[in-house]
Amino acid sequence: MFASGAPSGARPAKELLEHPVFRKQIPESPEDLMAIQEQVRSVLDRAKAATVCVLSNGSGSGVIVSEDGLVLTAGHVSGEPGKDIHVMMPDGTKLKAKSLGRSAAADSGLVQITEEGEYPFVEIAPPATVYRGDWIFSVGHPGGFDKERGIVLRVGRVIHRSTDTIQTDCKLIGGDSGGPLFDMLGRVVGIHSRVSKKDEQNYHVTVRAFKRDWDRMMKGDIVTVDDSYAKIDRKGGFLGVKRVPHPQGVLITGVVENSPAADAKLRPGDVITHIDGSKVESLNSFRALVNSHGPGETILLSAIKRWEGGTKEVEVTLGNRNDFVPAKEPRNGLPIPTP
Amino acid sequence: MRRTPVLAALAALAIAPPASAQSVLDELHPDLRLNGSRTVRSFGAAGDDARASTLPLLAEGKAIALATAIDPAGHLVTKASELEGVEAIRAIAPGGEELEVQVLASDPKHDLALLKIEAGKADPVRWGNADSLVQGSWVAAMGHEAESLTMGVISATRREIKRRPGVLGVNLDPNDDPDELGVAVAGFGPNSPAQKEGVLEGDLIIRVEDEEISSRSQLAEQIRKFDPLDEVRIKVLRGDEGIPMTVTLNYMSNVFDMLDRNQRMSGQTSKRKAGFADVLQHELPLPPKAMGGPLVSLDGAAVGINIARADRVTTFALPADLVVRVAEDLRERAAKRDR
Repeated sequence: MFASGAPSGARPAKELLEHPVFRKQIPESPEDLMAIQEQVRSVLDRAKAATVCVLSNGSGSGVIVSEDGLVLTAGHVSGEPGKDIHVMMPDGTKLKAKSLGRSAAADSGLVQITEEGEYPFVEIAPPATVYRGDWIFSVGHPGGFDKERGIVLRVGRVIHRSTDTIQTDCKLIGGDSGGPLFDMLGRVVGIHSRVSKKDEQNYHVTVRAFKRDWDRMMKGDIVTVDDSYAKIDRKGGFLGVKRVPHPQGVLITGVVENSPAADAKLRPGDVITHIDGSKVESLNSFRALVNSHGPGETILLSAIKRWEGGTKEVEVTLGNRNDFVPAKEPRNGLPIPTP
Repeated sequence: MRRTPVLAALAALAIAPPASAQSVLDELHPDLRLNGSRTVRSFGAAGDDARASTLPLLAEGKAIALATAIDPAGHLVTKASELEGVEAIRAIAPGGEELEVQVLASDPKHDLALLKIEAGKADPVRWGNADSLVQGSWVAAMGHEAESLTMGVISATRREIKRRPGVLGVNLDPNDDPDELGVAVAGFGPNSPAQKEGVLEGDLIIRVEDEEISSRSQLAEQIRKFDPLDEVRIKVLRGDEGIPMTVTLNYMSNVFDMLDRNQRMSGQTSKRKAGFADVLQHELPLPPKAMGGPLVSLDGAAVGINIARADRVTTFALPADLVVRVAEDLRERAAKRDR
């Protein structure tokens, strides 16, 4: 499913689309909207043909990604690995299936249809090919399977993307969980996972999170927060700046509220040039220099101050990442109400 | 009546924690999202068409629904069930003028009412052809405020939505042996009309209209024949006293929605959201008080009238051809009566 190592030729979806609306900040006319509509229409039938209803922990959704019937879904839909469950095709055909592994950290899950067949399937997009503002669409079985109604479509934009999560304005409800989020080329970029209180602000697991835990999930493991790659990679202390490369170091583009960076009065626009006297050569060297210190340790930063002017030496005591970044515990939602 | 198990109540979708401070920093600006103020402008003149034919309806200064202007003579249509129990309805014309509204006729089957305001105060809609829509076609409609144009796509198959009968709002004991004397009331749902009428826990329901009741299924079968707001004569046995009562059945939504997980995730929805011969399904996140207004396609034609916000991902509209037919019938009925 995923080529081993870094995917080659992983180009952003919008670069592969012809119509200029996909590179505009907003659609500007009914013609622009029509171009989005036609792009969705051109891939919708194939996307729907591979979208299934997963009957395991209640009713969820999923999407077939291989001819022999491997299904991506949400971890809270596939549930315990190795369980006999069912998958329902769009025409209502009910097939036997088995739950494989899931990630409790990311809410990704895999299911294998166990009845032999050649199933309609879709391509998984290379990781990190959709970005904030990109147009995307969601399909699924909200409220459960309904043959008369069919698979339900929603169109929207990416609000935010992090390693494990894409946030979009596609509306979701119970039953959509595990259903696919597609880019405008009809490739899977995410799996519906959680909702927020606002109708138009919902969350999908990234294909990157699937890729990271792929081998272990295929073996039927439950990947927990503690052994996830993300956790291991981020054991260093926490500073709390968003940054981009800059000729003289890294440019701060955002500061996390109440973080050590905020306490040290670092601001967007400042450029960090040195850490403990070592020059910051790149984003990677910045990360390595910060990560070589644990929470509670103090580092000395040199920063060009955008607003105050001049260069300043700032002492910062690093914090604990887990105090600032929400823990990725499984979020298994509201209890089923009892009348 | 006992609550029937609904698949949707078990359907899985977890609730996410609020976005972290970190992610807020680089979220897509609200103006640029699907229903952002700048994005909806791309609907262009079609948005103006929707605005020109939509009239907010008020009762005692409070928004109750929207109405659609259908001819130059001042006829409007709206969602009939939103007018139940309200008096002195006023409409706001596109110029801001508050107008007196006369309710001429109403069609409970299709949930449409015909209203009349002073002639020449609003532009009538230009009807479009709902058959020209496909899944993914852009549509838009007004909310209840001036800057509330809302857009989205046709999201599922055009179809019938089966009727939901009225309910008594009583819980029955499933372990209760069928008793020839009647069926015991074990409790009440929220907003139970039976409780309101004075039925007590432990009462035996022994008759519905002229039918003697001896089992739970028989009680359900009798009540199912009636619609919400129908007055039903029942007789209960309390001790050895037989008490006749007349209960006004409630909407299933009013009694059971707060027990349904998907409905609780959906915020305010229409009390009548079922029992429509033919609907278009779209994804516009409109409040229930924004039903009754025109749904326009990209060319500004009204392809339907919004008739029910069903849940977080679903809004129904009656297709234009049906509305035209029903409105014509209502006009004839009103004319005949006035003769």
